[in-house]
Amino acid sequence: MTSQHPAGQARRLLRPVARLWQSDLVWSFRNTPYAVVSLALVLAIAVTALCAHWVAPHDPFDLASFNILDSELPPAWVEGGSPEFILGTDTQGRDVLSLIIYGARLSLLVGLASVVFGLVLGVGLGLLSGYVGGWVDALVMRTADVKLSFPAILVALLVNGVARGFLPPEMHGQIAIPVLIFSIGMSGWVHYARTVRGIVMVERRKEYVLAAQIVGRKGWEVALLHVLPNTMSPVTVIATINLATAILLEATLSFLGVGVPPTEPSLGTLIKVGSEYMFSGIWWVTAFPSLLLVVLVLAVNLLGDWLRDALNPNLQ
Amino acid sequence: MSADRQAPAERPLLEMRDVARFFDVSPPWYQRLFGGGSRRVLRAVDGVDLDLPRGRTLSLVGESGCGKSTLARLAVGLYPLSRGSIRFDGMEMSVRDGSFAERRTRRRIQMIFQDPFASLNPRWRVARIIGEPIRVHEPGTGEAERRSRVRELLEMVGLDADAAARYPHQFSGGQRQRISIARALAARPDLLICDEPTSALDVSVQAQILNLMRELQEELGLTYLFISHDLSAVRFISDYVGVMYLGRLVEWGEAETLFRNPRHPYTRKLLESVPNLAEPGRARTPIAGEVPSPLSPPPGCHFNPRCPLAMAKCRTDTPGMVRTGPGGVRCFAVEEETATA
Repeated sequence: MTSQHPAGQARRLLRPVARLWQSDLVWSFRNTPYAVVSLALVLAIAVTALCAHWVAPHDPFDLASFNILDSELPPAWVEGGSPEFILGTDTQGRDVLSLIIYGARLSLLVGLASVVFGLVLGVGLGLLSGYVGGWVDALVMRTADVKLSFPAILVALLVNGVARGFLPPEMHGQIAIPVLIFSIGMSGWVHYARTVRGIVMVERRKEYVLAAQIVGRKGWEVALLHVLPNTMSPVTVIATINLATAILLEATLSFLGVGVPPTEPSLGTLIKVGSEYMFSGIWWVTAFPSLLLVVLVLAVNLLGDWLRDALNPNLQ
Repeated sequence: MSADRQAPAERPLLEMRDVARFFDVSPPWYQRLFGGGSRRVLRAVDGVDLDLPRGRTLSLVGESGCGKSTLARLAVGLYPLSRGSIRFDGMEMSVRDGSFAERRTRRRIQMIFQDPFASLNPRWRVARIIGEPIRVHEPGTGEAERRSRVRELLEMVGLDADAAARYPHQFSGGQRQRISIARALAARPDLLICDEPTSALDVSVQAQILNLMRELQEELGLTYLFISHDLSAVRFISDYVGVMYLGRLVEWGEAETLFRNPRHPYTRKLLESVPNLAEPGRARTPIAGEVPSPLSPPPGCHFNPRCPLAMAKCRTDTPGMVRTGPGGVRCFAVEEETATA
């Protein structure tokens, strides 16, 4: 059966790639310019942010590398700007471009981590709820209803407040980011849970699921092997759109001062710190992080929009 | 097979005694509390006694909603029983303790479904679908051995061995039904429950599947419980036929006898409704009235509102099963007729 011919082997190895390239999803992607542009933007921002250590012209954490004499320099193309600091410097003399790159890294990290957290929690609860049914379903779904009647920011503020109340002050700095991820994740799980529950309730009555039960699979095996994979396309769409929301929420919370500690640059803290000086004419410290936030969130949202259309069989 | 569990040759493979399954279809408690309404129980299957001899085929026929599919699902263990008992090869199946012995016995009862488009996981390749029972019940089997078993099974059901690498959507309805049969056979079953296996297929394909089922029965000594409302398919494949009406078995017997000489008025009406090429001009009288709701079946014999032979007794009492040869009939009119004859 297996061919030992090198060319044949190479072709076999490439077959999945070829199949992927010809798949409906990739075809739709290639023919949707805004999806290509969005993905390129997201990838560019993500790669730059991940490589912050090597890409950023200055290290904003290295106190020796910046000078108070360089503070409040405008962007390079404005009169008084220095080519060393393309987007200018903040009140402490830190390079704004470097701050943004490091800030985007933290924002993306918190966004992704909270999406993963919310996804695992939501998909798990949705699967349990739809598959087991009965009072478990009622409990999970009523909890979800209650959760939906809270604004996401309120949940985050509550979790944050409780965590701060229970932990000694010296630990606040360390737990700030996990608490942030937890509270943003908590605000997103309901969407996954509801969607997954709906699909599971349809799928579990289908005959292939009954067949797996008769074949002798245990309940959880049927749920994980047969039902779960069939819920994945809508979950992918929700996760993408949720990523944009999570990044925004992180920025909002950081702006309100309950997110990442002010010592760590995230897009939200940069906007907040910069906004305090905006009326003294130093617009660049807050404008550039805001611009990046808008571009990033818009690109992720457009990507999610495209994905929803591309994965919806009714629109094809 | 171990010799100590060898049942006497006479013992049926599947014995159902007073089998019943009720579904609670009441509105949720808060609706009952605020909007009125009471508890409602749907008696899908209500007291069925049935024996299925080894190596034979028993068909259950009846209109939609008569409980035949529920009975099939009870036999395979998808629902727990509300009352009664099911014994398979002498072992009580109504106890569901999830033990190793229970799993080993359940393996021997497999099922083929009605809709070949819903019964195969769309994301799995055929090799994985057919290999699943082997993976579950013979976990020691190696990759190569499993692959060759899958190939064998595919050939047994009349498909090419290269079908293994493809996905279900690449096959026609008839081919999918063959894959479904191969999956069931992979568990090495003794009893196959076939829930309308041909009713979603084209007529020409139906015959192929029925022929395949017969061949497999001869080759592997399988026992079939065949659910259908297609009476010509039933006549072709069955040794025994049971007729169900609103959750009860109203008549059963050997297939030829039942088709030639139906006793119960419902069976007669049911057989009359089938077009017959041999007698094109035959008067076919439809059964009067509608099937009553199974939520509130008429008292007495369920068939009494539509029955031409209904007597006063039929409206109050439920007739018992009267044995006629190897079969039985539940009807007061037939009872009296036999008594006077």
